[in-house]
Amino acid sequence: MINCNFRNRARRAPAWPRWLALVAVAIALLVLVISCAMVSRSVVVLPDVPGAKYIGSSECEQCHEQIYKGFATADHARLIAQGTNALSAGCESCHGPCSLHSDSGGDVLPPYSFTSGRPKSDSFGARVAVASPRATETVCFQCHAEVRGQFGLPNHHPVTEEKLSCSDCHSPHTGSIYIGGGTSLLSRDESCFRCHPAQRGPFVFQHEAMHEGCVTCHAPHGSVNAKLLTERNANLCLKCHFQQVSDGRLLIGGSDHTLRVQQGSCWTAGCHEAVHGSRVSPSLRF
Amino acid sequence: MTPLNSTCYFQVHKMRRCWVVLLGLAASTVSAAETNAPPAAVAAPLTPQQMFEGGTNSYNNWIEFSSGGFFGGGNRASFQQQHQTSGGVFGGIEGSHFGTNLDKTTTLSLDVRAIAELDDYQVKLGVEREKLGYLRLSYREFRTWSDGDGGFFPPTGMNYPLSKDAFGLDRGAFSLEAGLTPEKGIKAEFKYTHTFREGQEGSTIWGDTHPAGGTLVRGLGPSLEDIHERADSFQLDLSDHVKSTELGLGLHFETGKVADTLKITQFPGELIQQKITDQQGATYDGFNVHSFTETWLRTNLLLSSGFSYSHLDNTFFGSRIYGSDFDAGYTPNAQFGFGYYNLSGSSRLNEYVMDLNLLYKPAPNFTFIPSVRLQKDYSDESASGMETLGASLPVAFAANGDAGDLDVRGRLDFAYRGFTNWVLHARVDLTEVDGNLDQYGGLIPIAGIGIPGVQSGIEERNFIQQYTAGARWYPSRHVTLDAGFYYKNDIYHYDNTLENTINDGVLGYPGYLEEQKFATYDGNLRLTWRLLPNLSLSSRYEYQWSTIHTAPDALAGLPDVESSTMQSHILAQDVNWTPWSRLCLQTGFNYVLSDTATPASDVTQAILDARNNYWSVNFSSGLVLDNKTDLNVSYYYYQADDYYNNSLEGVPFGAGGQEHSITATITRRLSDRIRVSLKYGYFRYSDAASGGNADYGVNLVFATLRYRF
Repeated sequence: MINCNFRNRARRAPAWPRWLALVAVAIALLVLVISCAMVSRSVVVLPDVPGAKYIGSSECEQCHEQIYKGFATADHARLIAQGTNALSAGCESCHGPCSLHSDSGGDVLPPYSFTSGRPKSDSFGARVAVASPRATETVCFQCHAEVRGQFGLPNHHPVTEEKLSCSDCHSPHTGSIYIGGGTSLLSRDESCFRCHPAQRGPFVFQHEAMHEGCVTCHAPHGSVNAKLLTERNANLCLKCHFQQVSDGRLLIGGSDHTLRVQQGSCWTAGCHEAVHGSRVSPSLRF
Repeated sequence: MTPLNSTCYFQVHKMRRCWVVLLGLAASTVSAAETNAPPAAVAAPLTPQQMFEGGTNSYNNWIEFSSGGFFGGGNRASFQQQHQTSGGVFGGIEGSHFGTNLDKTTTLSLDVRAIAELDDYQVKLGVEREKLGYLRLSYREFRTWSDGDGGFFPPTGMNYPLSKDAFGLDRGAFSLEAGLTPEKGIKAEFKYTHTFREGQEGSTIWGDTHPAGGTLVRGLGPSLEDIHERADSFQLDLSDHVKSTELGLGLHFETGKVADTLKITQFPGELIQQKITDQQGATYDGFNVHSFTETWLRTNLLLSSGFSYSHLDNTFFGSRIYGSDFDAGYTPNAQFGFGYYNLSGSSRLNEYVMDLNLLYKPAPNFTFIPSVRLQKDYSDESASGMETLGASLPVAFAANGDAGDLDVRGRLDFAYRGFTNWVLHARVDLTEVDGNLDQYGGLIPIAGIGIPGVQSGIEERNFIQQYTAGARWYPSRHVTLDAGFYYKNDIYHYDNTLENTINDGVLGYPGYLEEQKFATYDGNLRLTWRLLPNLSLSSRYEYQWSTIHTAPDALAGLPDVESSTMQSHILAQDVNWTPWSRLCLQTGFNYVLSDTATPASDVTQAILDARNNYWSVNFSSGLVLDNKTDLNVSYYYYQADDYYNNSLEGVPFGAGGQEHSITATITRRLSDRIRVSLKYGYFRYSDAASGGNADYGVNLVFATLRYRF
């Protein structure tokens, strides 16, 4: 049930807990003392598995011929170059050094295999739910660090929470990195409509922006704005719909909006709510 | 010297080393040889499976139980939305995997995840027999949360939360898959999937309050989406190899229902509130048949083609009804705005797509991929219903439209690897779309209020060009340099063949638009540098500049205008450092400057240029405390400072927030089968745009127990 209690109840965060600092200092001291114990273990930071070496993508073809052949069409094939300096580029850019995997005839999985058979390791990162070292996105973020930053924003698709995966929208092994779009059979926004069918249409009154694609208005990885919007205020619409200033009036669609824009963003309060398309209103009112 | 003294000396000596090592974290790199870890242990190879457990025994199966809870103050719903988690106690099976060989060629696997209160469930059961086929059953359900708060209005200090707890939206899928995959002959795969989305989420299509403070500026009330969606799909795929050609044929049928309702509260906090129930629903049946071929004509020549036909039938229903509560029936009332009920209608979409691709390697170091794609689609739609306004008698309205497009696009892809340790690549994308869009009718004036229905016919021609070029260089085994650039230019040209609106200042859109040009320039650089065996850096910078240029129709009597300019600087920096064989440190930094400027701010301060500037830092560390215990400490900081309180001119917007998140996890291996962990986390957020009403400070305690077998 909806609790419509409209009292102004400021729910500010409490002050930093003072005991947190004491606990942190205590833990640091404890760590300092404990760390002096003799140990026979060491940290392992994937993909650097002790004993594993890079062998080059051509080695992978022996067992994974189908994937290897298809990879020639992939955007990620741009990683591969001739020369010893680029030995690690290609399959092992994402899967890590595969000598142990190759030498064992496949029994030993590559450092990043993305298959069942291993429990999650400890999560690195500070958010409640973060990408585990086994998760696909951990590998993707190694090169696409700017995307990791976007998934850390207050509004983001739940990828770091492992409810979605990069591979739900991206294809690493064949063709374009985007599933759909370009010259592939699947159209560009199909990845979005698969989970958001209400926006698919067709509507009686269409919004031309849908031709330009969902990403015209939404940042799919994450945004500082609600609903992954690329802009938070009326500029989201005005970037296409700003027409002209005439006699000090803000004209949009031939109509004076100078006062209207004081009252909220374009899509609020019954003005142009049907942003994806409407079945009743040519001006996409609702 | 007695043995005891000797031991003590040894420990003191080690203690000194520890101090040196720990102080050295901030100052210099320390090689593994300088630590107290025995060299043999550092070099001992571990298989990846063993590595995850830290022992030499590895077990293929496991079950892990977990339990935790959040406690603290502030806006719990805000916390739930940002971290996509419940705000209370939760627990269950974090993960479980069981796999076994039923015989020499048959495997069975079962994966389970079930966390109560997080509504996070997954079961995957599969049986697979080599060279014969597989059978898989899968169920997945998870919940996402949103706070549903409306906008904070500084002049009155009002904030309008809908609920103390966040709204939950459950998404799930059940699927049954069966496949016949013989080594030779036709492969057949069938999949049935039932998907659903049930629950509520917040919306930014807000209600409003009456203006306050002597201006037109008004507060915004919260709203929510009541979502009920389900679909059943049946998919059959057949494929076969004939000599050097792979052939495929697929059939897909989907039937579903979307019944989403937007619930808006108008005039919250005032004596008389209005509740708007805006239901938009449809039932649909979709059918698709597609086929593909892939032929290796020569070892350096691959030809592939595809064809797809889709048909979609929609039946609409819906209403927009005002009342003193949600889900009310229609009643005339002078206070109520425009609405409608008894909407019925339908739409049909037919889409034909074919593509043709060639992969050609004229020389070992040169790859050339031309491809073309044609899409022809047409749709028609109609709707009718009863329109309402205030106490006036409802009137019938009708609307219909049709649209069609022919979309032809081509792509040329080049990659050249003739220079040792270099890759040069380029791509050209060209798209031309010819289409029409006809729209008639819609809501009409009631009692002289409102605008007439539209009669609009548009012929459109779109031409889209994108040019991409890049180079990747491996100057050494430890350094990679990547540079890329692209330019995109989209031109949309509209001929308004039919337009019933006249230029009196209150008319429709896009009848006045003749042409729109989108241009984007983007350049990016990436440097990956393994500076030392235990230290690697990754840096990326991207600059993007876009403009949108609008040319109104001559009827409008307005000149061309640059509708907007958008500019972004995006910087990302990662550092991975293993200063000690028992310690690893990972740090990432993201800094973004992004703004969208329109000439609107020259006219009114109600709309300021939109800024999406932010920066964030994440840090994580892993420390081996002893032979059985690890400690992980992580920290995340985020800040956006784009909020500006211009509430005297308009509704204030702009993201302003600051987040600190810190977690510490201690993991102890009780045996080679049993591992336990305990995590503490503290999460703190303050938000300027909500006037502090979305702030929180939340603690987490979380424990796991894993058993391997």
